[in-house]
Amino acid sequence: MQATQFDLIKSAVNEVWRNRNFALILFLVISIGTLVAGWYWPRVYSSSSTVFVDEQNILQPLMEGTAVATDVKNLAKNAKQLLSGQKTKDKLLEYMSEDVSGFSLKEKDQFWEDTFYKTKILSVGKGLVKIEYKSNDPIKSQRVAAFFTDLFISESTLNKRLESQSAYDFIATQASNYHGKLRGSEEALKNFRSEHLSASPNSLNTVVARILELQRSIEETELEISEINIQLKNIESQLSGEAEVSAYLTEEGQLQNRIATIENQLDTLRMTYLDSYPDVIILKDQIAALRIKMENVRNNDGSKIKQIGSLNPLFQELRSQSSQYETQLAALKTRLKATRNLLGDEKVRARSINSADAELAQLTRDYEVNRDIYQKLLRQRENARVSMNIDVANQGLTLKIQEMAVVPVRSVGLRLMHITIAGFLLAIMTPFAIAYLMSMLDGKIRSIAMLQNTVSVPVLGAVSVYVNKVDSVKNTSWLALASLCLLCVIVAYAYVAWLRLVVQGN
Amino acid sequence: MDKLERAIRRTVINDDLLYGDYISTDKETNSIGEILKMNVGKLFSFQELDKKKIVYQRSDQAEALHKFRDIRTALSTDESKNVVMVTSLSASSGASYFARNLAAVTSFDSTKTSLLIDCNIDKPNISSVFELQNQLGVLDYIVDETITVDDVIHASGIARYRCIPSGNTTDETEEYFTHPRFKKLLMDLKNRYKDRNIFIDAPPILKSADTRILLEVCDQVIVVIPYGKVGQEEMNSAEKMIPKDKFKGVVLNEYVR
Repeated sequence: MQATQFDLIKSAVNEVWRNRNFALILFLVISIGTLVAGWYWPRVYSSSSTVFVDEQNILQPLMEGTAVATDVKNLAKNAKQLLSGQKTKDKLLEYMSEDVSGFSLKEKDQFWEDTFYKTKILSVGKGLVKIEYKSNDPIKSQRVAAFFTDLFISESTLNKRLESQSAYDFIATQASNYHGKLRGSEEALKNFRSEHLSASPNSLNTVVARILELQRSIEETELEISEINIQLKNIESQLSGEAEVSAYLTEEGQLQNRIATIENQLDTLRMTYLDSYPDVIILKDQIAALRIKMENVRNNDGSKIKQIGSLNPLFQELRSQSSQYETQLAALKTRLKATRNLLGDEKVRARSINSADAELAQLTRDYEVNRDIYQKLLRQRENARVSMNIDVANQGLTLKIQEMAVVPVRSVGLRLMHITIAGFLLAIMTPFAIAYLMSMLDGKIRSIAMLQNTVSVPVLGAVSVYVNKVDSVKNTSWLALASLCLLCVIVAYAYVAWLRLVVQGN
Repeated sequence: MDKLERAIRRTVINDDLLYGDYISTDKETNSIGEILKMNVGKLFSFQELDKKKIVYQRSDQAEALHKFRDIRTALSTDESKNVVMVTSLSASSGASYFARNLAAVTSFDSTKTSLLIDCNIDKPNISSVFELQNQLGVLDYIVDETITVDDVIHASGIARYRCIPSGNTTDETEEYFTHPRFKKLLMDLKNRYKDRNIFIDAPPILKSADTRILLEVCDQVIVVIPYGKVGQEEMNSAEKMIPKDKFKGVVLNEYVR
């Protein structure tokens, strides 16, 4: 069984009691020692001011959508950077001239460095910069903190003014740049227009419509030509079947027809009448006369026949139609050719219009882009001008002292009270702590449990304290002495507190 | 030492007046004379015992009394093992205080008597506690053959409680406890009265060779462990020295100056 926590604490208390004189001396030494240390502990006074800074960069709202302003990230770092220059140093040395009177250059340099590096510039929240200075002198703390605060504000304002001025200048330069560009594109557009008079946005459409019309006309003409060709072919085939002169065939045929007709009549008559019948004889005579006539017709030559025969009217009709169609065909062919020429011309024109259009589009685009940007820049330039004017007039200042640096009344950090309270507690605790650690670490036998753990023979028990009357008196007198010491220490503490609070006022 | 006084005391011892009931002894001594009465009859008052830090019945040190009694009951009651040595692991362990009180609680029992022998040659304490300065003791007996056992046994001022101081001889070179006369003394004391419990107040076992010699003559050993002074190593080496059959146990002395 190991020694329990309770055993250890009991042992510690026991040890303290055993070495009570030593413990008392330790208590006195520590409590008085810390009191003295607390009295002489350097007092640090801190003075600080808080400045609210509008974090927005002036370029940001002005250039919104057009340019991205650099992010103002570490406000405190920027502030420190702003105040780290030679200018600040000179101003500080001038401001603190009483403190640095009679200093050599090197000492002044050292003074500046000490002051600057002891000045804490911290970001304590969104847009809040805290400027803090700590020193042993409350008035100096306030002066330095106030100095750096004022300087920070004036430098920031100046910087801001410069910033808005440069923002305006920048935007103005950009605007004039774009103005030149816009003028150039306008000029180019004008030149192009004068060179390509026909080049209007609708001309291509017209040409295309015309081409389509011409093509349609060609197709129609071609159709007509083929129609006429077919008709001509028909007429020709008809013409080849018709005799130019129809008279020859008609006369002989007429004669034969008459003969045949008369013979028919004759045959009919013969069926009833004899050849001697007058009618039969007349008919026979007529037939003979017709036959002679037909013989004459047959024996005649062609010219004789022509003269004799008449022209075929159908043939005539067809011939006239044919010649009419031929005339039409010739006319159509001429029209087709002319139309084709026109189509070729239109196509050439369409091509030239296309290339001109592309160029025009580019020029127009350039012009539009330049115009847009220029217009925007003009607006922004006016904004920038207003911002600049506001900053010049210190009206748009976004720095505000949230908390002024004041002369600190109380010191910060470890103060007498803290040190002495800690010392008093330490003085009480130390003997017990030592005893406790000793009990825990030295491995000596301090309890029945530990003894039982150590030996194999029976543990018969523990002999406790025999406090007789003499011991009681001794213990009582020792406790009285210890109480007296404690009282003395408390009185000493109270006296020191009184000195510090009432006499020194802090 | 006064010869007359010695003679009277021897007579008293021989008459065994000292070893009976104290009151009867008191009556006897009254009849013998004033010197005898002064020597054996004077009992310490409760105030005196309290001053000497010796427990007594009805003492207001109830806790201490209770603890001593507990330890007493743990010891063997075997009459052949009535020599108990009390030693310690380091100087100022309170072994003498313990031995003294153990003897005292033993004497509470009216059928028993206690005898405390001071073998702490370097730091004798019985003579001062029991006011026996300049009385004959163990060393005197060993070196002077004319002194008898009875010469060195003294009344302690407590009923049924006798003691032998270390004596006045200061010859450091002598090995007293290996001396045959010491053994004889012990045998005499041990065997003479069966109801007697002998307690030897021995020096620290790790510091003194005497104690190791005394181990041979004692029957039971109790080691007093001083609070917060010894560690496991010392405990172990002491355990190795003491024979197992004699080692009755250890006692933690919680209060050591």
